[in-house]
Amino acid sequence: MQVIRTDRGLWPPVGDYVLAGSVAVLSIAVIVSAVRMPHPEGWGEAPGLFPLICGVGLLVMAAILALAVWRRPAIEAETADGGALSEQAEPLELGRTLLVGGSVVVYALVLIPLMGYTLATLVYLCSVIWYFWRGRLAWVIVISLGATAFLSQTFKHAFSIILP
Amino acid sequence: MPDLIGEFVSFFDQISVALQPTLLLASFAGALLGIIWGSLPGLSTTMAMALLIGFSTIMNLETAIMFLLAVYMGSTLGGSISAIFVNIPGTPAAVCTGIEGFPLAQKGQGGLALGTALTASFIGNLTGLMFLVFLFPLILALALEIGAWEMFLLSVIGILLAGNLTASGLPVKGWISGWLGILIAMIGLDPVNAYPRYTFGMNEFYGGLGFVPIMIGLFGLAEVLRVLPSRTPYSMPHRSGRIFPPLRIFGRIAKTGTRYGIVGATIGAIPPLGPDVAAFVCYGIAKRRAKGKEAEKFGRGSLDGIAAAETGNNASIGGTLLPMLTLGIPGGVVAAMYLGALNLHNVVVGPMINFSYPGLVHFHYAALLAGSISTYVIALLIAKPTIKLLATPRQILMPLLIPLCLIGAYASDVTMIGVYVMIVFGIVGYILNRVGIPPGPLVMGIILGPLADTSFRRAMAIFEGEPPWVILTRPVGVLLLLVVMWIAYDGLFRSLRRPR
Repeated sequence: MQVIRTDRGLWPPVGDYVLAGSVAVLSIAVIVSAVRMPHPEGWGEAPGLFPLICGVGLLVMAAILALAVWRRPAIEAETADGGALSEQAEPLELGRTLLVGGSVVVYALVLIPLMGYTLATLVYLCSVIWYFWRGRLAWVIVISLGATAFLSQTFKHAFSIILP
Repeated sequence: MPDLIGEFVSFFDQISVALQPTLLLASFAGALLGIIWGSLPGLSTTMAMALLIGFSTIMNLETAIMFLLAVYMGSTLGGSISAIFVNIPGTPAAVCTGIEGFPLAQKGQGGLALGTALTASFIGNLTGLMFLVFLFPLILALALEIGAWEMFLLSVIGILLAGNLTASGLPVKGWISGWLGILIAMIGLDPVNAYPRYTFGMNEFYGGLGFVPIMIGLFGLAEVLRVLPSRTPYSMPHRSGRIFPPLRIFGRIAKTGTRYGIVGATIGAIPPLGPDVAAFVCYGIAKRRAKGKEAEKFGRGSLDGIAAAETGNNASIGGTLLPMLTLGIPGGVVAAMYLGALNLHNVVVGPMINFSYPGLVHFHYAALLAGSISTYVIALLIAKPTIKLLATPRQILMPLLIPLCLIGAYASDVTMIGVYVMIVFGIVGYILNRVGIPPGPLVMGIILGPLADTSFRRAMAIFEGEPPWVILTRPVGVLLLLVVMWIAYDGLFRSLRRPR
């Protein structure tokens, strides 16, 4: 199905309903935990006072968001009248996005503890640049080597940071 | 009555400090880095500041100020290079520059468009500086009259206004972002009772979540997650032409620049508007005021349009520092990050700044002046090589940012906790972007959350035993309360109205 981006968010607004629901759940959790915080000398200076106010505020905002999304008319009519109001949303490249996110997690949680920053960075850069750029392997290695050497030497010597 | 002559004398004293070779070098290095960074599509000023505030802790305070302000100015200006040559604004503040500059670049006049942008930026920076010098004593005198209740209301105004302005269609989404920021700021020991809040039993969270890893995640990793998977290509014109504008055009830019510089600086001083809004407003006014042949040029390559937008966004830099230095309320997201950098150097700005840190404000003036000059000189020197750098495919550029983000997050406290926080907030930032929640108010919430929390509880302690209507006996408080109510009404109205 075609997803459209308007100045009021994506259509269809399933994401906005999920967002309102998630914010409501989060705010209830915040309110409950705030009430459970100690307040021996009343609420005036209690550590839970401000979280309680924020939790209530978030709950109200979740309700306003749900109401605002529910009141929106069919987007088809809106776009037919004024094309400038909306545009086709940037396609969600879910597979490629998950790949980038996954590669970052593997790089930080697996490669660095296993090989150290310098070697892990070289392996990471070679694989990601090669996959996304599809350039000549020799260039991929040269770019990755150069960037790794620059980053590790700069931070180690110029900024005196002990690399992970 | 503020002592303006005394202000200028102190300013000139601090210029001699800022002229020290190491400090000048820091300014030139910051300008160089900022221009290159801002010119590369997808690399924003916020991202640059997020990555660099952690590293600024290894510098002394003066060097860090010179460096970071030059980065701020350089990257704001650098954004115009990619906007003009590939129609991809390096920073959101350069969108209007792209609208007018790209058609000129396609005609082979990209150099002239860029020269106009650079000169207008320089004039804008100077106007913003003058705005700061003249208004600082006045605002500071007012700020000294402000109590805990008013500080709380000012913090709420900053966060709500950030929501209203960054989520234009549904302001409630911006408010949610700001409130989430406040919640994130509450993680750690409560500043009044030292009670651990939302630490989930982890000792590492007692000091709160690091500001630097959160910023790098929200603006660095999230941006890579958004841009790298994209398949949309971009191309460059082959000729750029002369960069430095002819004398006739230089005079025209100076005239336009002075006019829109004042508008831009004023907009920058209103939290959290900053350079993006300043550029749009100045460009909008210039477009409406244009007559005859110049009006026809708008949208097809108007030098006046470029000059107005660039003066506006650069003048707002000085403006954003005004509420930050006097009230501790940053004038925009980048100013919020800069405030975070000052906090990392144990500098707490606000109404008492002139007593707590004598000369610091005037050093800021000197740093802004040095930054303006170094940015202009460096920009003229490296403009042509930077244009060539734009040809770097984003499939190479974006992966290179990941190790940089990682080391930036790691360096903030030299533990992997910062890296994990950065990854979590990178994913959070990506999801927020997809569901249309702007990250700007979240930053304001993180920065202003602790101020709002402590001010509110301090006010409650002051008002203890008093009837609730005591808050109506404070004129400034009543005025600020009315502003809060107006912003809330405006946001609510715009969120719930049916689109026509």
